[in-house]
Amino acid sequence: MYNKFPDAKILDVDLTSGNISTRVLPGEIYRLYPGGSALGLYLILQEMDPKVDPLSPENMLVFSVSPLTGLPVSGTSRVTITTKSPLTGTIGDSQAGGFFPMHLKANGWDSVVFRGKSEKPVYLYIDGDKAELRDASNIWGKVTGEAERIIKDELGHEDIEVAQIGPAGENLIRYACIINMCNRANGRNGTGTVMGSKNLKALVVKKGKGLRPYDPEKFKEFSKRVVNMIKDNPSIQGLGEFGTDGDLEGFSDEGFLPTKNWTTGYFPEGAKNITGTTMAETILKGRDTCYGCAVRCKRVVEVPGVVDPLYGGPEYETAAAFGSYCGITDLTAVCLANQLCNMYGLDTISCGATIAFAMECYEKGILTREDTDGLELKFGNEKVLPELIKKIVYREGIGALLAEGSKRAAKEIGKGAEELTVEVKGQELPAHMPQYKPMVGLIYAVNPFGADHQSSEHDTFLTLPKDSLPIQRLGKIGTYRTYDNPFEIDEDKVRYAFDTQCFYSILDTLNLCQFVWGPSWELCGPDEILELCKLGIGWNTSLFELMRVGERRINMMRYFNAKAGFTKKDDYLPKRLFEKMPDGPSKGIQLNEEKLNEAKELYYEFAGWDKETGNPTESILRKLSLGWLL
Amino acid sequence: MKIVVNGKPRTVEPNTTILELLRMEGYDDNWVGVWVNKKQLLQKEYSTYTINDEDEIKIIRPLGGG
Repeated sequence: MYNKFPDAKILDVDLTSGNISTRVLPGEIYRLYPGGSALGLYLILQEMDPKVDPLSPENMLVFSVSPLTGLPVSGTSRVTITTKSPLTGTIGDSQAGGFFPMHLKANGWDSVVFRGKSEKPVYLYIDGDKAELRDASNIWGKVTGEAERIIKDELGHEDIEVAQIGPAGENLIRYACIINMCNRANGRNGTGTVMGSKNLKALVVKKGKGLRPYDPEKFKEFSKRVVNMIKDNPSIQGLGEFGTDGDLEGFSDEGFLPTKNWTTGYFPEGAKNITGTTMAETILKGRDTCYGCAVRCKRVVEVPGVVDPLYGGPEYETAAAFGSYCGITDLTAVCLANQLCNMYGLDTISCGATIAFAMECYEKGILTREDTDGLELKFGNEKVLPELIKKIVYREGIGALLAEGSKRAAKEIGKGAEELTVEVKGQELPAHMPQYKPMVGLIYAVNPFGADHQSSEHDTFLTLPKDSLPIQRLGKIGTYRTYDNPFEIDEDKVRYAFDTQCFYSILDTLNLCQFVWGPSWELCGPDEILELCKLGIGWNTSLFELMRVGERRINMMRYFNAKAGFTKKDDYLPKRLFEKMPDGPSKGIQLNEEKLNEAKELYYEFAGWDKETGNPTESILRKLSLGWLL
Repeated sequence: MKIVVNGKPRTVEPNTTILELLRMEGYDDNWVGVWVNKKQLLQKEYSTYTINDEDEIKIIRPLGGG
């Protein structure tokens, strides 16, 4: 039976002129770019020159959901921001969850495009079909919790969701983020910086009703079945009980927890203190969730007088970035740093990593107390974190340098500081060591928007048995081999990296939570995603169509980057990653640089990209219905 | 019986299954990879495979994060 694919409704906001208009993208086109950064890129590539300055009015900032957003089942409330990143200079991409995405879609919008720059601080308020730019001068400068309170008071009700920047975005810190619910972050790539450059404080939506499924009866059964699946999935149960931070101590026990600016993988003095189990036993106040989701992986923590539950608790990445990266063993200090980032709107990974870089510079005498305004930036000194984070937010003293991110800061510092950065394309690495997970390392290198750990499946899952659910699911996208260690680099692993990258790209297009939906260990696998599309919006799709969607998005990103001047020479990994692990359980293990480079060349072949440049060829673009780019 | 688990010597009673060994080693669930003498077991074999003397056993738990 034929069902017309829904049209996309787009709100277009010109901040320079104040004009607001709407347009509709017909379903037959939307089906090729069904949400997320696929839709964002489609809109951007129609009209924006990839060479624009990311902080200029010419940069477009696009919020996108998907045709599935707000369906009444776990893991469908996500929003993607697409823009040119001021941190990397590449296309920028970041997702966030919560309730904001669902309510944006509930107002009838698939995408909101911001262009230009407002003369004065404004926020956009959406109530159904109506959208108006409102004066934000009384909330400019306010932290997220305070700003949200003022907006609610001004509008006279609590029935809103707010996606906003904090002072970090206003002050154009390169890794400023967009926060909703005061604790959900479109964290990476400096999307908040772009928002700040436009004098845009917030996008506010009136709460509405979730999406009514195409087949409500069958969808209800499907949704219940999804909830029932939790009891058979230990990974999901673990996420609910201990959050993403549950495995932190395990990483250190293996010797692969990035520690002291990635100089080691072993953190015996501190891992236990900052892991999810300890959080659950001490300061955890509750488990929060996103719209419709039964997993409940979000942490709510409280330390009376110090850490406010409003700003949420740290994820694994944050616990590593402010914990092990900085040699800090104090959980309260880590939670406070997380809170400050959510208050001021800073990416916790880039912030923690940049501070860790500065700490190593200090330890090596490259930075002195005179440079650091008297702050003793030694590994383990948690006392410096609050003051240093605020210095970064307000660009004071050493903060002005660190506000630019570790790559730019290193260039400015000189004296060998550039040897100490751990970044790809200017984005600091997340806390998964390529020495342990080489295919994660490969994707760090080739990912269009810098190092990202949520763009492919990790090597470690290939150690599970052949009859396990994750491996059976991976069989549907052509992965059959299992390994007795995660360290191997061979052709099958590269294929796994590429194919799961395409699969994760589907998730970031359809704006599905990558814990609930995925190709292997997640709560729901490929079969359930097809069922979601069919019962949710009457879209009788296939894994073939979806993998094409995913591959198309990656190629659009790579095309954007090529036009912005990027080539395969930008697909590097930091030198430090190829040194032998120095101590602990992983002592002596080394990521083989030659093998990884061979893997990269094979990846480009699998992707169908040009051997010399690493960029999409005309034929691959045409194959993916992207001939209009030529 | 003397066996080796992840490079470390262990002593187990005769007729111990892999599943029992996993619980003894602190693994609460079966989402781990198990190799016995370099051969990977299927998950369904964990409750039926009986450990033999001098078996060399490798157990790997995939670590996630996020």
